[in-house]
Amino acid sequence: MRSRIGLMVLAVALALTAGCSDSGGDGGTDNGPAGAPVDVGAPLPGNVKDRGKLAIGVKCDYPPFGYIDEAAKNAGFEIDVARKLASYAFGDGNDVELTCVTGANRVSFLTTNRIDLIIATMNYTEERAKTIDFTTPYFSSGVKLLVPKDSTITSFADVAGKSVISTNGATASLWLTQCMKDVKQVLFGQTSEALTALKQDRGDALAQDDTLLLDLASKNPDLKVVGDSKAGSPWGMGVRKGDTAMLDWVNAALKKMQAEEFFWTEFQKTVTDPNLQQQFAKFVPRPGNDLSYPTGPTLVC
Amino acid sequence: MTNADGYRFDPGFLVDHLGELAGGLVRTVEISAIGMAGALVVGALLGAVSAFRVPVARQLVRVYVEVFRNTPLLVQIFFLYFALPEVGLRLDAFTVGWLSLLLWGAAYNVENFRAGFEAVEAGYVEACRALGFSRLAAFGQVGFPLGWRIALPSVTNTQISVFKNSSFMIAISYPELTETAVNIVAVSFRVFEMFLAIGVIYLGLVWLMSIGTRAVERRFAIPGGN
Repeated sequence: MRSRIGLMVLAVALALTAGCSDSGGDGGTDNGPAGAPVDVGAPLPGNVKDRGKLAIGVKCDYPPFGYIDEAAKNAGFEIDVARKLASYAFGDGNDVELTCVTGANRVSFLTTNRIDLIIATMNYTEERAKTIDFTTPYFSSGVKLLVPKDSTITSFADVAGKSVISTNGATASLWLTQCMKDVKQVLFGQTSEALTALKQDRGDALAQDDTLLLDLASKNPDLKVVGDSKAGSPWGMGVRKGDTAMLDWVNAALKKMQAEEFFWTEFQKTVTDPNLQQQFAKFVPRPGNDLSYPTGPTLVC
Repeated sequence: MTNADGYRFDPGFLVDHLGELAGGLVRTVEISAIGMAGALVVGALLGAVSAFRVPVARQLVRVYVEVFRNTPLLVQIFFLYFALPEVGLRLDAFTVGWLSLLLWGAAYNVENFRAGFEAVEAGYVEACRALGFSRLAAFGQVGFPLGWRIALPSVTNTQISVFKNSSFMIAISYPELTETAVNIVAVSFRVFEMFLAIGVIYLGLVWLMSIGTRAVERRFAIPGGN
């Protein structure tokens, strides 16, 4: 009896590991089979090369950029970019160690050496650039408001003095802190909690990046996106301040992706709604469409 | 002070955020004070119900204690805040804050007090009964005054946990001390200084509480021991 149970446990364990190595693959992206590392024009930093894996902090609650899919695997636009970086570095898109980070802790994960790189929906801000170095941008977005369909709120002016939900450390929260001091912010760690709170009427609106809100609104027909875009700024990846080897390699890799039209191809796979694609077409780096960071403050009121 | 990764220790930045931290501390104290007071009263009351084997009520208390001791506090908080609205009861973050602390702390205090009451020597209570005291009077005159003194050290432990667990309210966006600190870190990235600062604040307050209860223990020590 005992040995039979032992065999069953073993069988299950084997099945599980087999499942992992099967689907631990590129999740349907075209990273191709394991091959040789790709020279992007700058050397891979020695510490990364020695480890044999890229350690990257990604969002796990932020569809369609970084989230956990039905199969409990990391998925999304940023995950595809992370795997592409790994395939450049080691010839295999699976040589990446993804860590779930949030707006509030992603910079700490980087500065305490737990990850090499942040790819986590991070807008460029002057304040963040004082603590970490930003790579060249790979996307761009602004802050809007998600409200119930029957809400009378149509712009940021309408939420003055009201409660607005967001997530800890999000650009939306930083902008509200700076520009709308009379707004009472109700902040959560995760998007899912913030969305639940909005549905339970714990705030009058949910402020976040327009990309996320459009995705949430498309899945929740009783919600709509309003407001003109605030705090618009490109998203960059983050590397440790002064880690020029990493910065140079990632920038070279991003340049190669842009030249190969990787970003736009992946974005179209991630966001399949043609209307949404159209809205974001100019916010993706493509051959002939460079994104650049603003000079000066981005959190302008 | 700069380490190899370029992190510069800068305690001066805390000064800029003293007002916010003070506000967070006040809210921590608010929900903790209500939660701790409630946990004490409810715990003593239901502890007596358990010790006295009051029929039906005792079984209900048992269920309550098992439910709240055998589930994580975070799950209880999420349940009160996010799940109850789905069945029509919407509590705000402040209410969930003190209520969850109260319910959690009282569940432990029931056991602390029950143990205390049951540890009172049966001979004392029997002597009261022999002198014609009712069961209730015997508890009021002897069982309770001795029992709570015996229970005090373990009750103190629970009360301290209730206070520290107020930091769990970060999960429901109640701006107590920890939530306030995390939000300041999200803007300033001064991780080390901020968590060191609130660590010192929690340590100092709990230390004061311990001193206070030790004074109470001495003041109310059972003459000649138990």
